[in-house]
Amino acid sequence: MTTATITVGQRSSHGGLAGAVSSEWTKVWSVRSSWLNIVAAALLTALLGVQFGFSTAYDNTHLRPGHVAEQAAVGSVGVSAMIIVQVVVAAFALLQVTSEYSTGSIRSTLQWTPVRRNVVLGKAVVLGPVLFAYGLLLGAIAAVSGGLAMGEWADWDLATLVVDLVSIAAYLTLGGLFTLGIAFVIRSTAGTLTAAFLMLLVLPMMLGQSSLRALVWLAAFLPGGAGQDFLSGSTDPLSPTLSFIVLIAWAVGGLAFGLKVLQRRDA
Amino acid sequence: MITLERLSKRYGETRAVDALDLTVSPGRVTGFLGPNGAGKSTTMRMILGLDTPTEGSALVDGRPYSAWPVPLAKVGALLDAKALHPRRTARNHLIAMARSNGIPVSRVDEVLAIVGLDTVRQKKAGQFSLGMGQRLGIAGALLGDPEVLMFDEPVNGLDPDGVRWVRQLMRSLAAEGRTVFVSSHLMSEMQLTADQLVVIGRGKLIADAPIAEVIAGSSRTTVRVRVPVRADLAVLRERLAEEAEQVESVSALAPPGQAADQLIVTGLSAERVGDLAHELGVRLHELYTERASLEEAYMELTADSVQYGVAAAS
Ligand SMILES: Nc1ncnc2c1ncn2[C@@H]1O[C@H](COP(=O)(O)OP(=O)(O)O)[C@@H](O)[C@H]1O
Ligand SMILES: [Mg+2]
Repeated sequence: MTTATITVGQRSSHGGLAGAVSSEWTKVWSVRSSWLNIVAAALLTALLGVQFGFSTAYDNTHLRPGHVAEQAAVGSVGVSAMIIVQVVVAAFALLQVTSEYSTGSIRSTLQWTPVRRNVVLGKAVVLGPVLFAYGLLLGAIAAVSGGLAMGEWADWDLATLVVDLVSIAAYLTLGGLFTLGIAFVIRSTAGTLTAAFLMLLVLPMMLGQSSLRALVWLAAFLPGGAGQDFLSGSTDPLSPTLSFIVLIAWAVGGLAFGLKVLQRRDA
Repeated sequence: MITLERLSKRYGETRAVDALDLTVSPGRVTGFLGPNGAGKSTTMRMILGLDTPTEGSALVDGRPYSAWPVPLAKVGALLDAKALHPRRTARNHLIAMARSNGIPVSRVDEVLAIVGLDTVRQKKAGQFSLGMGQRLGIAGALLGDPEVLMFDEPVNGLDPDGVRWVRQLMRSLAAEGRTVFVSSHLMSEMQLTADQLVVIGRGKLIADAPIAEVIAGSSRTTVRVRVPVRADLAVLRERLAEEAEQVESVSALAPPGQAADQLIVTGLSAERVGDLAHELGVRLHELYTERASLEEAYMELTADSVQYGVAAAS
């Protein structure tokens, strides 16, 4: 044990947002749960890809009357798989907040970065590109596994694939940022996961199948519904561009709500 | 320097901190003392902006903590050693902390060496013992080479060696001109560490004085004088009563119920008592100061707030 020797003269230049971003990046990659989440999502995506691929091939060889056999774009497998895998990606995003509340480390974070706007922005700035890359990776895994399973029915057109992958990545990024925002409000892992599950998957799916037009519209304005419409290129009830704008609104709104609550609450 | 102005915090009905006015100055260790639930931790959380005051303000060198561009270079604090992710290694925890304030990573290894954790730096923080966790927290407090240091009950869970080490660390930090603000609910810890004592009870300021003054100001610091001749005792008693706050006759050597042979004087120095006895020509057999321990002085100061606490709880 030594007594305190404190070196002066290496004073830091910045805290603020730049520091928060750098710190959050370090935090994301220094716990094993982040890596486990990626491995789990990759495996799940590969399995779903193979399953969708085989079922496409089966449909094309066991045509119902009036149907013609068609090649399918490999990227569409990614779109289908994302409906389910998005929940795992949402968990990746929300854990960056809820694990801090469950461990109490949020108090350390707020001590290091006392300007709370920078805490929310720091996490969002890190998660944005990470989720986008994560989406590209998962989309590619789905496309390759699905394409191989489809065999001759796979359409490997590169331009279509790139558009599909970028769309998937954009959706997962915005859905993840929305989830990140509400995680600051809800704080618990189970609670936030439930809310994300409802908003991204369950509610839009249920309402979208309704025969009531109003409920279909409602589904289109939920983040999961807007995401599905955007990814599938659906024009009813909203155009893909409008669906994308709805998604952006949810992401920004979720983060703003999270920040508002964080700024008001005692740590 | 930390400045609190009418700092108050209410949680529902509880007034955790109640209109606290206080200045904590650099260059000395200020002990922040009060029974459990007195509001020490809440005060420290408000200084760091973790809790928002209901009223009043807490400033560090004239500005709120959050207004400083590199907060960890202004205030280093250990409030809760468990406020970290248990599955992150000690070193990664400090690296994340350093990066948040643009502090070079080399400083992380430096502080790990200072607190004696360099051999376990790759261990997960959740596997640390209470004492090791405390050391990690202290490493974090030192990371930004801050001007102000704040420790909330820092010796909890430390072995006697560790306690001594923390004490020395705080003294040397203050000697370097830093502001050191350290809380405890035990006076015995403060006695050897603090220069200045701030005592609170039920959120209110009870005392803010140099440690020597707190002891001297206690009514338990008394002078005892034994007088062999009974007539002299009465004469001396009369004379002392003119200057002292209180004079009491007791029988020290004589069996109980026998005549008194000793005076207990409050509010006069032993020197003065001796001089007065000499003037009167009174022969003395014993003359000594009975100093209250700091613990006793503290008990006396906080007696009211503790009583209230118990009454409110039952
Ligand atoms: N987050 C909180 N919510 C409600 N009451 C609280 C909270 N934090 C502290 N208190 C109450 O405020 C009072 C002061 O607590 P605290 O600051 O922890 O005291 P100390 O650190 O001196 O032991 C206690 O009565 C405690 O129960
Ligand atoms: Mg406390």
